[in-house]
Amino acid sequence: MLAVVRGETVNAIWFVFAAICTYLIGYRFYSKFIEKHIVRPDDRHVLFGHHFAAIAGSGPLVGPVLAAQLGYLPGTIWTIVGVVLAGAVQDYLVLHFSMRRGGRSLGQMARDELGVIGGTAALIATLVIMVIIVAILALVVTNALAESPWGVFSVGMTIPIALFMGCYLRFFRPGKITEISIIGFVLLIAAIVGGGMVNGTEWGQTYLLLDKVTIAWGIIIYGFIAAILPVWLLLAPRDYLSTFMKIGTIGMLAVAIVIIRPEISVPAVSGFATTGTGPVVAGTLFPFLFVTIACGALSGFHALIASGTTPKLIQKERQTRFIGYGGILMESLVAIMALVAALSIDHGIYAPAGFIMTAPEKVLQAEWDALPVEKKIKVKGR
Amino acid sequence: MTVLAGVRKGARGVIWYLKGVLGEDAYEKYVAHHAACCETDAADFDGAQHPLMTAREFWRDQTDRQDQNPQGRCC
Repeated sequence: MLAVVRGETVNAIWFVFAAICTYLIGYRFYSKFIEKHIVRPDDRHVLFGHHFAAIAGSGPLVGPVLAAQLGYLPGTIWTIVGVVLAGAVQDYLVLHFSMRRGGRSLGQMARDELGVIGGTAALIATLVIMVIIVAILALVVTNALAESPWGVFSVGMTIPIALFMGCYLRFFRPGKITEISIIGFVLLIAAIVGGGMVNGTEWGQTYLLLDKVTIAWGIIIYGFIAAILPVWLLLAPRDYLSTFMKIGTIGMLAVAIVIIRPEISVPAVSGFATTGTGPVVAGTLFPFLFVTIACGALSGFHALIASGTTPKLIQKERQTRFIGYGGILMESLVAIMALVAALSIDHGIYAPAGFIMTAPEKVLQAEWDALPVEKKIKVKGR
Repeated sequence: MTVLAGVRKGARGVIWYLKGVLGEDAYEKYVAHHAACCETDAADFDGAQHPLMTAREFWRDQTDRQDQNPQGRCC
């Protein structure tokens, strides 16, 4: 404009510069404005939360606690290197390819690629994997609750709490999920505190001190009833509650580790890694490290989740990297925090608390106690 | 005042995120979708008119769908 007024010539290159600068500013600011006001804003963070809640349960918390007996190094290396090179790659690719195929499930994709026989074989393998995972989780629950009135009371109370939440959402205030989750959370904390009191009473010791066989039958019967009840009554409210608890646990673990900054005094690789006589899981490093720490490092089950609901909710391809690869990185972080927590707990709480301790290993308690003190897991300052 | 406003904005963001992750915003999304697709096109995918469900009807429908198509959860 100035040049035109002064009668000077205008070089064409400024047209190009002006255009590029305008495009960049427009792309950076005006398209964002349009996105915010007209197009639905990108809510990939919410989908990230959904996906994370679906892949992460008790696995990244329980697995590292079990593997802590092998020393700090195997679990740490497997969790960090395993997730970056294996687990996250699997999640990312399955999510990406499922999304490109219109959100098809793993079974459907296998059928498309491998034909009827190959697809059926893949489906059977998937079913077997699911059965094995459920069996392992049931074993963990059985071991955690056996001989523990506290555990039986607190976990048992989650059933009436979930039923109450389900009825509240169905009949009283439909859709108020956050509200009922907070109420459920308060009730759950009360159940955990109450469990401690019940543990000290005589009737608690008489009626709630159950052995493994009784607990196992209880879980089988509960599993059957839970499967045939309507979803709104029991499973949906449990799901809301566990999502709420998961986010809370991660936050509390992170804050606790930053505040306490626990010092690790366990050996890098303990003797249990080669002898297979550990107090928590009786098995050597190969293959037990990779069986115990699945979620958080590499879990085949994630392929089912990554080809389930998440790919159907993805808005654009670019999001798959953030949600697929990033989601499991977050889970791995939970696993590392759980490992740190397990390594910093006094062995007196870690091993004999009845938490995830199996029957044959209780015999090994004496062996464990006979270990020199520096080989045991200690809290700083003890 | 500005600090207070910032805290309020942050808290609102946390609640929005939590509701999104827990799925509480499903009815609002449904209403927005219904307004967008059923009023402009006068029909949904199946070509039939669908009256807007009330919140209570919507949540019943939602849980009934979950019954028919349960979603997996990992370890």
